[in-house]
Amino acid sequence: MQLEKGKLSYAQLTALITGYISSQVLALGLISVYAGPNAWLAVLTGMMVSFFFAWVYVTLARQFPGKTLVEFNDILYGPYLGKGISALYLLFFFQLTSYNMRDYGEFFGHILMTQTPVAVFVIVSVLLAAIAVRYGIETIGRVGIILVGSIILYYVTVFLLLLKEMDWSNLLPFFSIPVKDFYTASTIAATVPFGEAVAFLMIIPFYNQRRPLKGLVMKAFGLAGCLLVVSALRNSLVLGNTGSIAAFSFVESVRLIHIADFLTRLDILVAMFFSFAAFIKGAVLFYVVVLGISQLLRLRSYKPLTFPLAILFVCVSMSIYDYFPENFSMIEYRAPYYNFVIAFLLPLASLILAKAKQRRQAGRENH
Amino acid sequence: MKKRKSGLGRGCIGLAILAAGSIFFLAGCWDSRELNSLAIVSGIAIDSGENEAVRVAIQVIKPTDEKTADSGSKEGNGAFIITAEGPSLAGTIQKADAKISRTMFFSHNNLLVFGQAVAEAGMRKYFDYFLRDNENRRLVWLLIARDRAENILNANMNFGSVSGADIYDLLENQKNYSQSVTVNVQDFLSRLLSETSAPLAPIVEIDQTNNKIVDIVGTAIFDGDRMVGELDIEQTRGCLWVNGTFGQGNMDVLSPDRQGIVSLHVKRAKSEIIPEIVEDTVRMTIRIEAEAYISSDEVSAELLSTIARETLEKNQREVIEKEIRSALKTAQELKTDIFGFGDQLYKYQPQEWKKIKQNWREIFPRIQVALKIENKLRRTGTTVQPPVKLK
Repeated sequence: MQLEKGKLSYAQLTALITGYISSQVLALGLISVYAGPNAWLAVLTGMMVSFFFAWVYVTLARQFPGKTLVEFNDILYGPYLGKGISALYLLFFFQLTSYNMRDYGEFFGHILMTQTPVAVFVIVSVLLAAIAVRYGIETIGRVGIILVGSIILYYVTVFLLLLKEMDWSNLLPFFSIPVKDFYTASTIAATVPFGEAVAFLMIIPFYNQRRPLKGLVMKAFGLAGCLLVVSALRNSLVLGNTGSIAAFSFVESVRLIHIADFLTRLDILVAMFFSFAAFIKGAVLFYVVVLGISQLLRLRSYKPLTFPLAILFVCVSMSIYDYFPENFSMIEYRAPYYNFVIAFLLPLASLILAKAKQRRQAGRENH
Repeated sequence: MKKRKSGLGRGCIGLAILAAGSIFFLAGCWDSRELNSLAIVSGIAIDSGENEAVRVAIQVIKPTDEKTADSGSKEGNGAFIITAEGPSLAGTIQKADAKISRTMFFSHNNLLVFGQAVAEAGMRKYFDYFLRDNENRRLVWLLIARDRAENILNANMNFGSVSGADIYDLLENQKNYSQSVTVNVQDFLSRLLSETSAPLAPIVEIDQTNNKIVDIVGTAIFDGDRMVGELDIEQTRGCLWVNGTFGQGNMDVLSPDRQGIVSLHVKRAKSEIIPEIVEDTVRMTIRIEAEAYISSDEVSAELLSTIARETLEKNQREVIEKEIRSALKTAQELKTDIFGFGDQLYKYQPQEWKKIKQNWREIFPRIQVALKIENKLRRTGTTVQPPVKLK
């Protein structure tokens, strides 16, 4: 029984993974609080570590070609435990979606439209994601290419426009922060933007496999990592020590663009970038949750679930925290534990189990 | 196929509803504000109040009047000033806002003027509001008014009809003269958050001899967020030399025979601070590169020879050195690190910095500074000889 008939091309899946990872710019602010001028180094370290995650995901996906996370959990852990573990993943994705939608709303509420209730932005972004989800993964993939292209263009443009404001000595002293802080920063970098890409275990089965999956995932992780490193670098170079007091540090640097009294007040660029990024992440996560639940419950179509879940997402997004800074402490505290377990330990355990089972089976056949 | 078709039809209806619904969102929802409902703020002045803690004066542009005033038909004022007093800054700004018939819009603010009394008492508590508020920007020029900040907004302007915009242009233009620091909120914040560097801001006062326009007279030095001293114009230039913000500008040096003045125009300047810790003494080497051309020779001296050129360069070095030493002396007396020596140590020698950072206030006044000035005279202007009859 196939719930999704669409297929993703090489470029589409690359775009989705890249956009998905590089949209987590809120974590950058937190990383810079810990790592100061070495934030970019922490992101780089996180990226290096994440290549190991990526390897785990790819190898795991290869063990069960054409099977999603929810489907192969049943095979691997048996029908009962498998469903429990799948439910755990889905709960994680559900929370991520809600956080993502709320972050999007909060960004607009803080920076651009302070009078408008956050719920308006959350409802709009959830509805948009819901429509995309109903059209299927292929549509999301096609849109993804355009949006990720724009995101890359945004990064390049902003970097060039800010060249004048950059002070390269802001990156000094090189690695002078306590190891513990650097560890925290790198952990956040590895588990939050990159670790959350575990959701793609639900999407990789729809890849058309024209070219090797491993290269694709590594390339996408690398590209997204580069975008995040550039973003962290730019914030450090432009803002220096003033970056860490901002709620949205990725906005503050863009707000400092002023070229000949003409190119200024480019907040709208950030708004466009963040809308694109939030859409990719929101749509992918929404799709993953909807597909996951319908596979878990063995439904014939995932579409009836879309709008009820959309309402649920809006409600949960709006009640997930009352006071915005709670968001940061949640990233800070959930990163090393919750994200680490879901995004890394569980897939790794699954991989080891799968390999062990495979070996045992091979041994049996040999006898 | 039938199913697919109906799905598409539903999609079209959904799209239509979305498009229709987006009319409400595209207009900006609750934030929709038309130009004719905005009171665009051009300058904010903060003083201590007579009866209450803080007094603000906010300059608001009158959009309808701007055109007529600009065309020169009348010596009009394209803006008006509204004042209020209160215990807190945000509350007082709201009080002022409530007094006028439109809502104030701060995104296009040009200036933030603090009265000297407020600056001496500490600016951090007022500074926070401007960072936190989403309409206020960090590219706003920061000024310290010698007397009361409100008077600066009330000063006569050179051009245009809004003093806030005029003073903004005045500050923008200073980079051509290199005799005053220009500091925006971001620059000030960056030094405020630094462990050691002293924030700086230009001091302005009303020039009574020139039609009461605004004049930049020096630089305020801050210790943390409190103003503790100031630099005059000459010392300010010393500070610009070291901080690498000297762009271009005139400087008077002694003529080769030391009888009069030859004016040089500095075209390009660069600086570098090299920190050094030898045992327990901190030494700073400041390297400065400057290029200049001759803009005026008041003693009609012969300036073509190598000797003349080298003497002029030496005399210029003396002036630069004097300016820097003078600024340094004031800074060391006040124990305020206006050159950012501490940050240089933190950046280039982090290990040593950790050891001496607690005693920085004792160490800073005793820092020895070596100057290495490499200045070059490049051109003589459009003449090669002074206007004297050839013999």
